[in-house]
Amino acid sequence: MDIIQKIMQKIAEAKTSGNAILNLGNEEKLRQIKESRIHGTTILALKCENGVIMAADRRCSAGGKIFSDRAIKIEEIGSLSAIGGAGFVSDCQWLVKALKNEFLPNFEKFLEIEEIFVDGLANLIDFIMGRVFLLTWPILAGWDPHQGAGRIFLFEPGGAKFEFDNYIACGSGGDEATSVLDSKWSCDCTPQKGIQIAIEALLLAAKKDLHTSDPFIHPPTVKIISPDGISTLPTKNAFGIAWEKAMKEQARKGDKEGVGAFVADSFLKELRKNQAKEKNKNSKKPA
Amino acid sequence: MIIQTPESFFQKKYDAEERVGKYLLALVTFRNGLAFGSKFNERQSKPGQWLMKINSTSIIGGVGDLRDFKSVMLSLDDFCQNISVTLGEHYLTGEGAVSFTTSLLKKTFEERANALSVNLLIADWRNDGKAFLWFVDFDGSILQLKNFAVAGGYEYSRPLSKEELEKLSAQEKAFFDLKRAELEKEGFPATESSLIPCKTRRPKKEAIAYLEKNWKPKMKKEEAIDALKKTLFECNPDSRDKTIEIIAIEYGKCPEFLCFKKNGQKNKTGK
Repeated sequence: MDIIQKIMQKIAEAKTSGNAILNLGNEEKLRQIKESRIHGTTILALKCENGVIMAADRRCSAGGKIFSDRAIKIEEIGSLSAIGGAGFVSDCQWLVKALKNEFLPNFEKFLEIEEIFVDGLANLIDFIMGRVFLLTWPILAGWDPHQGAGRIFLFEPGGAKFEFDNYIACGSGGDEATSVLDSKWSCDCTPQKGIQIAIEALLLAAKKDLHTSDPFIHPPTVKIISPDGISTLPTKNAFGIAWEKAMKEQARKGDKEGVGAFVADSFLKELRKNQAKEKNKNSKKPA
Repeated sequence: MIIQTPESFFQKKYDAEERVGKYLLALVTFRNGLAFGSKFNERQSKPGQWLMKINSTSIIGGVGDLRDFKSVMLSLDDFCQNISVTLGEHYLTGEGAVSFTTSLLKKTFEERANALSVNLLIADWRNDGKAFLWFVDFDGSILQLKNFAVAGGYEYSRPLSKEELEKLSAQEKAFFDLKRAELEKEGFPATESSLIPCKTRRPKKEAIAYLEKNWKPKMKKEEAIDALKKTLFECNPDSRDKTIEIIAIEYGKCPEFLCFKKNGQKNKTGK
């Protein structure tokens, strides 16, 4: 069977939430799509020098209930791309599973190519989402070796594909995150600065949005995609950056009543001590 | 529904070999490109009608039945378009074209009453200009090749001419007489064509042997064209027009169409 036929068959057999609502009336359908856009989460991607950074909170919620604060919302696809999405979890999971287990291995075997990079993935997701109704808004980011640049894409349930030059955030906390990205991101952004901006954006999103977990309680997932591969920011580091930022924010505002106010000073002192220790260790190491 | 028997497979194979024919399609690589060569009849063929570009770094050439070649190319074109839409043109490779044509030819050979009578040569030079070559037979079998490739040129027999008969050695004459006597014993009439001494030719084997001797690494374009010309004129069966076409492709440049006659005269060129 031809590879395209195989894919079409898989798509036809898809049982997704999106396909389930196809029989509903137009108004209900529209409502569901609108809701899926703001379904609880905050995922963002931003370009930096020689790469892309993708970050997401850890909260999984339904309505006013929290299911989990440990969900990992960013999945690596191949060695140079990652995907994450807001919307219905089931549809997002279906997409990632189908891509990882069915479509990509089939294509890679059939065409005898080593890997399908972010450009190919973007086309493939666009193709799939144009045929299966998925109530999800995935963000795809990765390093494109053909162009020698990082690339960021956002897809909408109808199958439209948008490419972004700088950054994008989606989910219920997307607007708040975008406001931080708007004000802090610059074209000479280094990976270190990018990580700081991403976590700051998640902090603000968590502050205003019920469905986004607090990065200084549940450290966010941060992926750094460079031409050499994908690395994940260790939880400790993510936690440290989030705490530092939250505490600084509290100090700036002169908040003396929040929980942070009690631990801010001691935490910051300890953090600086640790940083100084690490610096000393590094300087003692023989070149 | 077609009932497939071992005999039907033999018949299909025999028919396909007959229709692919005894003429050759040869491909020779040179330093920075490759050249396809085949028989050319100005009245019957358009220049380059047996070639199709897959993408900017791969090409496919064919020999055999033009209708079958076109139907394979139409399906392949569909496939290429689908891959371009679903993944992008970067991901369209020679290997992909090989996988697709192989599965199509194999399926047709196994399931239909007639095989698609074409032999294909596929070249892909996306890896630093190093060309990978594949030969795909009408039954879907593949050969991965290097440096040069030959398609078509199936074995055939032709009766010996009067001059050739006269030139036969005593040993050869005795062999033919013995063969004839055996056949007559079995009841074949004397007029039967099989009783006439025949010469069996294998153009493909001859061409491969010739190119194995004459192909050199890092050949220049002119040398490659010359080798191709000699191969085709020496190994192709004799025909009335005795004209060949050569399409030389230098990587990243426009393909060049050349037409040669057996007397060495360059007939027509174009890009």
